[in-house]
Amino acid sequence: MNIRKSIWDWRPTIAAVTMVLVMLPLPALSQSDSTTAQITAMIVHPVGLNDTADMSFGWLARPASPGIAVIAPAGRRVLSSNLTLIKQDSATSAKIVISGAPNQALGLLVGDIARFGRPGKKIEVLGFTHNAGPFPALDLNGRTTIELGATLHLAADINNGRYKGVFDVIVSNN
Amino acid sequence: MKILKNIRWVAVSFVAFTAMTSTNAHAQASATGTASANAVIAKPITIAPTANLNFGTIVPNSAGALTVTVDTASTTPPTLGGVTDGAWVAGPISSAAFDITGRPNASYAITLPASATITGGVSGATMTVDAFTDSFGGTNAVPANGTLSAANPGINSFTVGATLTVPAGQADDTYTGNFNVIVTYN
Repeated sequence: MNIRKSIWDWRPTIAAVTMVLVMLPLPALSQSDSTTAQITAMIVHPVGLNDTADMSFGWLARPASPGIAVIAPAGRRVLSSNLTLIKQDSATSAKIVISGAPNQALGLLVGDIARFGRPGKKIEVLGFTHNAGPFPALDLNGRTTIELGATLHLAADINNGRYKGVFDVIVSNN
Repeated sequence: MKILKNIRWVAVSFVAFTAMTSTNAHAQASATGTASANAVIAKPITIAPTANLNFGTIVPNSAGALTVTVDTASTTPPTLGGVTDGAWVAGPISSAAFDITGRPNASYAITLPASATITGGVSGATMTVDAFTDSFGGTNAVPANGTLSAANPGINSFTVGATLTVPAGQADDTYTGNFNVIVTYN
């Protein structure tokens, strides 16, 4: 009974405190909004390069005067008038398969000249051409095949024999 | 006596509470005072994305992490870090962009995340995107403010760039994820 009376008597004080609290300004609640945006990235393996066919000029007779043999990227061979074939073999252009990211643009660099043979008796291959066009790129599947041709220069005093060498092709991600 | 005291207390409390909470001026023949009530009804601030953050196509290093930073201006190519034999190989790249609307001339704060994770759709591998920056120069650690235009509603926009860390040998995949941006009235 005494306790109940005591609480009852405190009511004015409680009310006053309550009113003071009500009168105190509330801190301003800043209104905000949020949203999300998407992040995207594609990871691909480095560009790959595989040669699937070597360039071959075929079996040529030693000319009486300097001559040339031209292989087009599509594989067609054209000989200068002083060159003849020893054997009716098939000439081939070089073929490389490049792989990478879909639609990836490529940089394609082919050596200017390749020389091979014995010292003083070298033959020269130069004027390399390809069918990749001015802006090489991979297809939707991330692949493309590029064919390369060149021009073989034969000296009149070239020795008989089999001549074999290499040329460099550099493909880069653009 | 106690009853009288209680009645008086109730009366005082009622009058005081009414005076403090009334927001309407009631015309009275015998007004003895005035009270004003003020309220500001403000347009809520809103944010909507208009462009996503795209890092383009990347070849990872064979050893060591590579970083790709897309700035708020979508500068192409992006800035690379830690490159050995990796590369950024193709775009397009883009910074994220957002439109803001709200109270004319209002200042607002931009909250960017510290980091976000993107996940490969096939591999399930993940990468981290961090160092978010907005076109007002703000970061997660040091937020920036924007100001809405004087038009009604006020409008504004900003872009957000970030840095992607590509670990060595990261799995080939298309990675996606989300990041959250908050705008708050100052």
